[in-house]
Amino acid sequence: MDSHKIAVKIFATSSAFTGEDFVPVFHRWIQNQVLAHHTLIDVVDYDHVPNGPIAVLVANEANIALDLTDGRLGLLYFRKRPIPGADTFADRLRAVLTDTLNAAERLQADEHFAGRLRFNRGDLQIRIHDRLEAPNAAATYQQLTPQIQAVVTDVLGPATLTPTQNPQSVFAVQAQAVATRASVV
Amino acid sequence: MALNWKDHLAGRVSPALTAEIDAFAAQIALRKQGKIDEKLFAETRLRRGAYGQRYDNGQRNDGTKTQKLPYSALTKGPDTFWDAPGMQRIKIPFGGLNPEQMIVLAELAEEYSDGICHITTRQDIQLHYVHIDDTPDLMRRLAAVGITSREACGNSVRNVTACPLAGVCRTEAFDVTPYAKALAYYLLGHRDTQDFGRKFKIALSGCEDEACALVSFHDLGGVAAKKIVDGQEKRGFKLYVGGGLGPVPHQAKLLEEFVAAEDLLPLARAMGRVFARLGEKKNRNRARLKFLVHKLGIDEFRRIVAEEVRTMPDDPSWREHYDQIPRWAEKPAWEGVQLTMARRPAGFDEWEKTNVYQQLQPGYVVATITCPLGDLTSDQMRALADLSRRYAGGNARTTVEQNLVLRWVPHNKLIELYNELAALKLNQAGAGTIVDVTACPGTDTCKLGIASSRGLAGELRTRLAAKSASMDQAVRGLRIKVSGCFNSCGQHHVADLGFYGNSRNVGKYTVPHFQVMLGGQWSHNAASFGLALGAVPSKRIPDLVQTLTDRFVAERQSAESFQRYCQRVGKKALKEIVDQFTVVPPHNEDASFYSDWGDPREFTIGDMGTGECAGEVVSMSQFGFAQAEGDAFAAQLLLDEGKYQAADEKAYRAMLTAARTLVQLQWLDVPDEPGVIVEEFRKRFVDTKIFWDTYCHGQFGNYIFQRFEGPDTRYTADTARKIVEEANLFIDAAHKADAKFMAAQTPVKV
Repeated sequence: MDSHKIAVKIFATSSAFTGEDFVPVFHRWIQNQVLAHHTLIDVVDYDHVPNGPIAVLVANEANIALDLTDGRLGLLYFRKRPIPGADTFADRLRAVLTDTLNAAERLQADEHFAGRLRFNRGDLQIRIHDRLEAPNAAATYQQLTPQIQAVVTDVLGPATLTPTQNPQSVFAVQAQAVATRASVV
Repeated sequence: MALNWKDHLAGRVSPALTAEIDAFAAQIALRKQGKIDEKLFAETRLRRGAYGQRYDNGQRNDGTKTQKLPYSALTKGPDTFWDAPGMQRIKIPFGGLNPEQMIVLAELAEEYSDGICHITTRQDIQLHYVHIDDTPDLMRRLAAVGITSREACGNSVRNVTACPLAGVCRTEAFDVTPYAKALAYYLLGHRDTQDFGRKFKIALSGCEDEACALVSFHDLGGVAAKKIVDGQEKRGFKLYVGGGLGPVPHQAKLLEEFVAAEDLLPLARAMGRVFARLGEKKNRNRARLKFLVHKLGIDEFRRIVAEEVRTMPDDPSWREHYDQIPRWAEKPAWEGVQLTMARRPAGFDEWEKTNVYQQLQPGYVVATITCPLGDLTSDQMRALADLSRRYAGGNARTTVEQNLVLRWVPHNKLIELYNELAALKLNQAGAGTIVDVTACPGTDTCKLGIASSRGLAGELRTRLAAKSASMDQAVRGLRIKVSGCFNSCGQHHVADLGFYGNSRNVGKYTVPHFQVMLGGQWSHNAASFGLALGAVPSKRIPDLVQTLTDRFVAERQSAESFQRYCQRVGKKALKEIVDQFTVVPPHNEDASFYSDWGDPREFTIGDMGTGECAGEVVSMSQFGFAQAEGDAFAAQLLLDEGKYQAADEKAYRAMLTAARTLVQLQWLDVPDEPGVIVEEFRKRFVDTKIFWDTYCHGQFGNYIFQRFEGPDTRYTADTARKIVEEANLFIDAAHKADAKFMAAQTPVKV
């Protein structure tokens, strides 16, 4: 599976936020180019869109969104461009997972939130936005689950993986980490 | 074996389309090798709908400084970096979408964009933040479901739009849908539409009186008509040409009272040939068809087109498209049954009032899905595809008000549909009302945006939605449209309350403003345009809207429209209202005025920063510009009174005042003589490119130069309106030049 279009959504413990919370923070991130190995370009305010992204930080390499799909807020990191030096799917997934956790950690530590925003490392969704390389089908799940399991276990601890139910969506699995390493970021 | 979309879709994309997309992919490869000139590649990708986006020149002001974005050196056009995110515009002729197409659009948004499908004011779909390398695959996947992005941008025939009710409308002469489709596909890639100096926009309406497809501001617009010829009813079109919005809007002129339906395609082709042959090619700012029609006059233009129809080489291919027309049909999924007694869920009645239209066909309705600012997520688009299939027989259309409609919904299934929409949070009422503010992308993504049209539109939507339940019906029926700049992509000219972005210099800062346009007419195919009443700081627009609507309710006579109200009250009185909202508080009192809606950065135009703060002193140039604006407004009043020569002279005076104000920045004692003013203005500000627009270049300067050569002595309503509009644009540009000149005099803060 050669695609780099991997996305990870890490869920927040509360959904009581709006675009106004994130847009100014993201603009400050751009001023200071706070994410290593990312060129931060712009901020998009989608607060008017029900049940979707509320704010997106556009970087050259990835889009980082606060996403409220299905009413559950999470930070959705979507890798758009190839990852230098990451030759295998496992390498790419590890890089994306790490970048997601780093972004979540930085965001929740921002002074604007004063502790109100927390992300749960034990509650993730891993997606591949590439229907050609990773069609949302049983075969993909069988092929990739062991690798996803290995990476998630290594980074977060043992986890239960469950495929998503909507066949029209991109390939996605829910990862619920159960061990003690799984905690709020 | 490596996977690729071309092989994956083999057999589902026609050989001709495959070859086209392959050619584009090859051009991408050649450009990467430096074997294609960047200008040529730019026009190539534009003709495939692959547009640039803001900051693709590698620079972005972050609110404190200009950042260089470290893209690789390769470009995809002049001053446009290869790796910078772009926009893909996707043509949807007459807005028609089937479920399969909607699903693919959702997938493309997820895989190549930011997960949002954006509906435009011309019924297109746009995907933003797309990488140019992804565009061939994106195009293949669209082609597999019968969608092309070819000629979505560039100097070509753009999307052919049509009323979203065509075919189900109670007042239409006949269904224009198959004619719009025939025009779209006949002209697509036609050899006679490849050499335009500028874009060409076509719209078809089913009826004259409703808003329909807004033919009045299209290059070519047709209104369906029927006529008895030799005892038989014939279908045809009342044709209008030379309309356009842009900085200076033009109402289309009547070309023919009746063109038989079978003559429509050949005539459109002939018009394309005339435009290609006689249209301006060097000066892009005067290259739209409206300028050619204005230059020739409608009678001569008509004569030339008729001549072209008679003499152009035969092209029988139009017949293939025309012969498809009788085969056009939409099939509902269910029999149409009227809804009778039923328990209505909360919110349904309000939604039904604004979002449901009873079709011509008994038992069926059209349901409008309100899409805030035209945005839908991929999940929502997929869900709507499913609803379209189950309730609407797969018949959905985008609208120019940036919504989506489901047609052929049986009335007795409406509550079921509503409940499903509610579960998706897509059951917002208010479509086509004052709450349903439409806006172009503006400074969010457009390189030409001056102020945040979407930011303002979002704020207005929120405030107006909160009050909608208690709103007077007269106010609820108004339309607000917002453009990010004078180019009118938000169609502000035809709104009851229209706004377009500009800026004003306040002390050492640049403050986002919107020019206020009141009294535009949406109905009767956009029958008339609003007039400018002054610029208001962006942050004061919502309060202005509140005041204007309150006054309308309080002062309205009988059932007069907002347009009639504006005409009766008069522009002088309206300007007095607007003027109450023009004050910008000092920066140290309220810094929020110095950033735009939804964007906390300190406002700037391009890379211009703010100078060293020297206190809030009113400069001589501000006095001069105020006088110029006063003259411009006086010109509008004269125009309104039908005093066209006087309006012309006053508008010219306004431009001379603004120009002299600029010259005085360098030569305080410049005499008040037109010849001296114009010459010094040219030498000091235009030749030095201080009075210069990044994208329009010297266009605004040409307004005063042309008028200095002599007036248009026809002195008609059109000629007077044109120069009044030009004076306003000239003054706006003079403000910018003033700010640019002043910033260059003082060190930029770091």
